[in-house]
Amino acid sequence: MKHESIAVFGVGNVLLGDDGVGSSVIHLLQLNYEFPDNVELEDLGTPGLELLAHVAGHDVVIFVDAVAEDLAPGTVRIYDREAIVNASPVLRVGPHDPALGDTLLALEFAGEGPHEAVLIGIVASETSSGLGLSPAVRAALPVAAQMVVKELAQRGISVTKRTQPAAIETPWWLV
Amino acid sequence: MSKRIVIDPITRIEGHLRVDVDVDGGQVQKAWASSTMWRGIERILVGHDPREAWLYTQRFCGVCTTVHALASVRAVENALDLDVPLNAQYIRNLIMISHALHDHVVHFYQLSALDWVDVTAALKADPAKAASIANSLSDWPHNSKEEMKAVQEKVKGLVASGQLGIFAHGYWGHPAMKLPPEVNLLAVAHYLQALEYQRYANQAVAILGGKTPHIQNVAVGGVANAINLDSMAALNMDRLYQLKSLLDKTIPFIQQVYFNDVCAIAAFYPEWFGYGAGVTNYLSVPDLPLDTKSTKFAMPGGTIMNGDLKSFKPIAGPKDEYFRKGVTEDTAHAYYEGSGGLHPWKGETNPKFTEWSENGKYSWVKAPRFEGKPMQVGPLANVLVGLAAGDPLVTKWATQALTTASKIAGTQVTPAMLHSTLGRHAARAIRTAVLADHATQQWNLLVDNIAKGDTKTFNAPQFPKGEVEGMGFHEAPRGTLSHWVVVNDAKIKNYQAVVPTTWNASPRDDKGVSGPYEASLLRNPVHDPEHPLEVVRTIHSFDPCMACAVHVFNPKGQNVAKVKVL
Repeated sequence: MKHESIAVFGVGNVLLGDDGVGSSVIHLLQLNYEFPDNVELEDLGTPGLELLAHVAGHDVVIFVDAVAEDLAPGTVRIYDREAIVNASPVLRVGPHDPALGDTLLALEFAGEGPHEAVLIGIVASETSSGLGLSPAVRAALPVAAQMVVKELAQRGISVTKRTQPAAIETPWWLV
Repeated sequence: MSKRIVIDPITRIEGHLRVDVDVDGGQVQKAWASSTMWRGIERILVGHDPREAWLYTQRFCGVCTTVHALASVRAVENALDLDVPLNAQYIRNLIMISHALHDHVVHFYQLSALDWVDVTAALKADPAKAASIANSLSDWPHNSKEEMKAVQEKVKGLVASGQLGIFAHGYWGHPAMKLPPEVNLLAVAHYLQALEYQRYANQAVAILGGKTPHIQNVAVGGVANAINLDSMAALNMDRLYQLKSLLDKTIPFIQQVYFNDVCAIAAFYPEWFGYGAGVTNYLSVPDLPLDTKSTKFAMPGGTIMNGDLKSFKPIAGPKDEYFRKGVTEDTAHAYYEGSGGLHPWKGETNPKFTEWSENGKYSWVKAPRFEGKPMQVGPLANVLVGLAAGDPLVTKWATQALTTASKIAGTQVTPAMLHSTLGRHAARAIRTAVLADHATQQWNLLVDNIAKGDTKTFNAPQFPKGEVEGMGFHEAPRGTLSHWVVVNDAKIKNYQAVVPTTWNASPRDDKGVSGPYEASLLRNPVHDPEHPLEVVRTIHSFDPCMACAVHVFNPKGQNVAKVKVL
């Protein structure tokens, strides 16, 4: 099955340790793979309310983010749309709260939501203030990247592994 | 008997705003606002190159990204006394405005409107009547009976599915919900339209900033946009007209739809002009610089004390000692070492966590003070300062807001009523309408300046040996933001960001004086402690933005208790 538009979004804060894992997975994907034109890869960082503008209009959205689970740090898990939506905060207080789930629900009501959404979650260890990933989460980067490639393959999108890493700038938070 | 209510949307890692209130006799008697997460991100900056600080600071927070980038480069430029080319000022101003237009619209429809609008009640509305109310307020073309009917069908489908989706969080049927069905329907219709129009504002930021949410074009000394009308790769007429067309689509939605929706909703809740005043000392800084030295501004700044507009004292610019010397941060009730007020250049961020204690330390937010006093910041401060300074655009839109609300309410809504929960929403709508006018003005200024042959966008910074101090401020969507930097031998020695929510969510200071959130909650009604909609209304009116950071997804989010009655 061919999709018109697929987005892979890394979400999280690179200033808060493992919370920035989504951004790092996006960089790793850009470094090692070539993607067809209908696949958009983007490190969204901490998009807050802007998430709506980015998610709207895509057929499939794959989020990559740190997750808080009682599992070994670095474990990579996949969550379906229902799991994302069910995790929305019950009572929203600040603009950070309408996160992934609420964005999907709002766009669904407007008829502009993606047909499919999944979240590739990496169990975080350290999310206190500071640059850099914990060893367990760092080791999980290629696993998460592989999982993105697999999710794309399942939707008929073939991704080519580069023979040489792409000549792209290393983001400042990884330097 | 007094009852303690704790509103704490904290998940296991994520840090957010927590509010504790004591309710007695159906009213809030005591309140504590606290942040449950340590910010302290400033410490990462020590030792880094000041030219790169903005890259870090714009990742402080997911909602206010561009604002921290702007305040940061301004702080370093101020330390170096570095001029900023006119084009760069205008480009930054346009980014700032576009970001704010996006932010205010999304805040209202996505976050705040649902405190006042009962989505399910829209089913009882007469679409023709809803259309006629809307058409009496503006010429907006998407208010027809057919459009209202289509939205009502959408809501019907949602309710019939048994799952309210995005609206499942609302306090439906709460006795404090009082809008007529037609106004509810109108608001839902515009909620849907807002999803489209906020995107144009976001695209406007991206045209100038390279991408959102984290813009790429700022630099200490100007912007990285090359202006070349003959080059496809640079900022050329094509791009400038793209930007103009996005602004031209966004502006009518703000001035005809969002603005009138706020006036209409406010008119049906007149009692909320009587709650939530809290701290009536106001602080707003001048913004939209119009010269290379940042001495002239399109938006005035200053202070107002005790709600008296006659007490207005201007802040001329970033070099004005009145502001530079006035700010301190107190940690008597915050989880940091020390207690007394420290000036931001001398500021410390050394955590000292203790358990939440109502008489001791209870928040990660410091208590900023201006000449020792708590100050309210945000759109209300911005609008009141504009009125006191006689700003023509603020006066025009404030007058229109009060006239429109009075007409619908059938009673006089006066400027004095702005010191309230609803006043903050009205002020946000006024400010957004004002900014929309500034968008057109700034675009014209930029294009005229380029037409004169000026293409300069950057002055290279030179760092002296030894120590220099700088301060950069910005009147952000949530209010006055200031970054304070100490640079030694071209490296950051100290960095402090005094953010708008720190002013508003400030805990008590060493004298026991509350900040704006806490003070505004006193004597708020609470009809049902299990469903403290009224407390949420007042807090939302400030547009809180607490955590400035963590987005860890918590699959167990649903199970976390949000409201606890002790």
